[in-house]
Amino acid sequence: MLFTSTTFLFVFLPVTLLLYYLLPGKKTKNIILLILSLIFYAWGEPLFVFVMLLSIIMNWLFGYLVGKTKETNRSHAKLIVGISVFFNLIIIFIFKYLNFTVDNLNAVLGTDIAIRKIALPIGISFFTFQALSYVIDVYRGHGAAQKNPLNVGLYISFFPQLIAGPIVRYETVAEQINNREESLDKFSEGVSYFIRGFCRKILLANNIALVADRAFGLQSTDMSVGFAWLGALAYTFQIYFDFHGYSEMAIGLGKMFGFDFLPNFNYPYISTSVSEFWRRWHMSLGTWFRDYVYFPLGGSRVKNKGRLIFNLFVVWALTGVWHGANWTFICWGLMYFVLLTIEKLIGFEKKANQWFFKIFKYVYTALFVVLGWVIFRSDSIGQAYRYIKVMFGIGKHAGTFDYLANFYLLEYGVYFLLCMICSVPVAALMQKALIQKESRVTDAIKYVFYAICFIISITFVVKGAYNPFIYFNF
Amino acid sequence: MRKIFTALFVGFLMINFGVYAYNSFHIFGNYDFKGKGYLEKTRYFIAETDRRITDQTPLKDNYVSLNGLFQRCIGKDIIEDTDPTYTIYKLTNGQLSFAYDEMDVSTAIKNTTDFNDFCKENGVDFLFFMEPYKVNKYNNELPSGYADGANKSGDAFLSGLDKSGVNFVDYREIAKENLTLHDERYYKQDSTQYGSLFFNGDHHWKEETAFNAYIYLMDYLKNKDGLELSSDYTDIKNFDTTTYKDSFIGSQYSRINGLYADALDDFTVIKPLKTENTFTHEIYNGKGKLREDKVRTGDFENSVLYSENLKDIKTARRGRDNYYLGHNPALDVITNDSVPDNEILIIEDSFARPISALSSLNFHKVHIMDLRHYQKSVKDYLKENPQIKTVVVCYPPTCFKESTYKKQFDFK
Repeated sequence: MLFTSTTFLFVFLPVTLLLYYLLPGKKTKNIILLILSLIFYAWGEPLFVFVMLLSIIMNWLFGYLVGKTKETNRSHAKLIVGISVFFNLIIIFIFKYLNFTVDNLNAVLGTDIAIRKIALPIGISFFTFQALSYVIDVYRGHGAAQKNPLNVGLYISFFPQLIAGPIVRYETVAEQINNREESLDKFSEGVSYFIRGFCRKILLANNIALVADRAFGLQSTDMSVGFAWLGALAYTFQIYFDFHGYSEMAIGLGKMFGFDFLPNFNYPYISTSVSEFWRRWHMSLGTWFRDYVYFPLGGSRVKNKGRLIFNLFVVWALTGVWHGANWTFICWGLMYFVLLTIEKLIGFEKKANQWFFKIFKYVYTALFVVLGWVIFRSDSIGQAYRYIKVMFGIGKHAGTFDYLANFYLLEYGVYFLLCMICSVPVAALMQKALIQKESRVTDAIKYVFYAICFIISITFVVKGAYNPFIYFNF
Repeated sequence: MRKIFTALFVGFLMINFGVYAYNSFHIFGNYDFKGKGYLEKTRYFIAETDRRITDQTPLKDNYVSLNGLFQRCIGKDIIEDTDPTYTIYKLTNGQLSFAYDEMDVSTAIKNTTDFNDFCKENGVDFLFFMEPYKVNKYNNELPSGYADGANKSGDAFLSGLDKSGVNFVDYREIAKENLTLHDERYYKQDSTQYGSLFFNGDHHWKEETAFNAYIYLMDYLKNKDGLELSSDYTDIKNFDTTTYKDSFIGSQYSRINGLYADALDDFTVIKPLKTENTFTHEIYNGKGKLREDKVRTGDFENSVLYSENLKDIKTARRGRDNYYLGHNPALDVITNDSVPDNEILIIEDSFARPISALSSLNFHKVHIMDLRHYQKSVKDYLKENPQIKTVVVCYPPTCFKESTYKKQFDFK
């Protein structure tokens, strides 16, 4: 089920809120949240709820055993953690990477191994990483093992962050599962978060997506340089507002039920280095890889540069692979590995911070981020290569600026402008500069604005407008 | 303020849910679970519930109107649809249209040429009749210089037919002429205003335009193929016309409603003044099986025309033009008892429904086939019905779109 569907908005959410606030006791509330989360998940594909249940039961068992043995027999606990990691990775491998692996083996070895196409359970990468986080955090003492499997079930399957994150680490919510407090203030904050995310997704991401889809659906020979750039920029905005919007909705919904999740984005497109970009983009994934992969490998505090490069390579290859079973994602991850390695080795962030150098740094970062999204969005490496060639006017293409570029620029100019404004902290800066203190009037203006945007967004939902969701399949 | 806002938000959700709950028996009753396994049942229940919830959204039409107003305010000239085929383009003359990119028509040329050869071998006269498209070939009124691909595809296709020696009529060229100036048997239209040939809020041509195309086609078949046709039904004098002013016609208009474009239309129905003949309208499903419950027999009005589509003509509803034939047929057969012998097969899409319906005035049998829905072989159908001596394929250039192209030119 999507947050941006009428089923969720007008039926699922009201029912969940009513049941949650009418039923007494945290245990009952947790049970009802778990049941409704499983229904929410099954709504996408009922069969996959069994994969989810298997993951819940097994990880509860692993966590329970680790919790029991970690004080008395550390090596035993470590072995159980190893088994749990293997179990979770094998699940994700079967559903997400087996077809890809077999296809590539067939291509390389010239074999003809045939296996059935395996459908991808929605959000498998997100809930598997949360499940891994549970067992590892219990082992590290960053949260107590849950005796009650229902609580593990709620942690893994809680519907706001179930299908598209943010990846909530166990240590963040371990306490909150049984001891969270709901309040009107927190609920109201959640409503604001939800509406902001909802509008970002519906008004900006979904509309600008149409430009990107058109561009990436064209043959490179039918595309002009102008339209190639327009399509690349459109996708750059689409993926940000899509994912950021969904994360904000998740955080908002969490708050409505008393949970506090960490933010997932912090204006990534204002970054002046690729390293900074990744500190601002999909922060829950970045910190997950940092804490569960990069640091255990030794991080950057290693004796030689070779080891540092190896650690970075592992993290960024995995980041690429995590996003999907396609060479485009792997290349995209490895592109960042190269850029981040260079930045780290030359100390890029600390150097040349005068304003004119900052402009150069900004342009460099933006350029590679946009090129990265082209690779990410393309169906194959070949398509990405041809697309990038057109962007730079190389090879056969449809001129510099054709009617499509003109048409889409005129038709979607408003959306491009809005996307640019909303990509930078302009509202916060304006508020700081113009209004020293929030008053009732500014508050009223803000909420009237929210209400207008929300109603307009609802009109798009009800009309049945284009509503893709990028991170749904990760 | 924040608390008031929160209360309004929660109230909004709860009121909407309350409306669903109140109407739950009406909305969520009668699921058809027959013949499905547990998993299939669950999937069906989910998909059907989603559909019903969306369809029954409280104040849905108001939301759609508001969306139109918003799009108008930000100067949008295209309204996207979940299916790009139905994306709406606002023409510079204010009318709403669909638009398509130019496409490779070589398969269409090859299939049509092969089918023409098949017809020739079986003693059947073949004609391709290209109907006009709302976007003027000579004056592209699509917004912001968007290229008119459909007419280009149409030109390439006809050029291919010309090279292959296939008989065709490019009615796009004829429609823009003021036909009444030459011949008073046509319905009087000001063709200099190209847009006036089409509805404002629907992609189809007006019934008057279709009527003139019908007259032209009948004359053409009479002159070219020597068909013996009565002149009674090829003159506007013998037809009754009724115009319903400011009607809600369009499939496009209903997708966006009144605040986006002023797209109400005058809807003119044209029917013969006197038809003492008895007509039988048979409807077959896609597999060629007669739907006996749908057979209608009577005079022209009560067999071929479906006046229920004219009810509440000012309220939002699609498919008013179902007045002729009642639906998009897979296969329909209209029999006119008072005309002996001659039979025609018209392969069409929704544009040609008035032509097909009116043709039944002149033929003993009109076989009407829409290849988007008919699943069996056209060639087999012709072999099974050797009395059919004329085949006319009536498509506008909008048939050249990815979603239906393959089916519409699959003359298997």
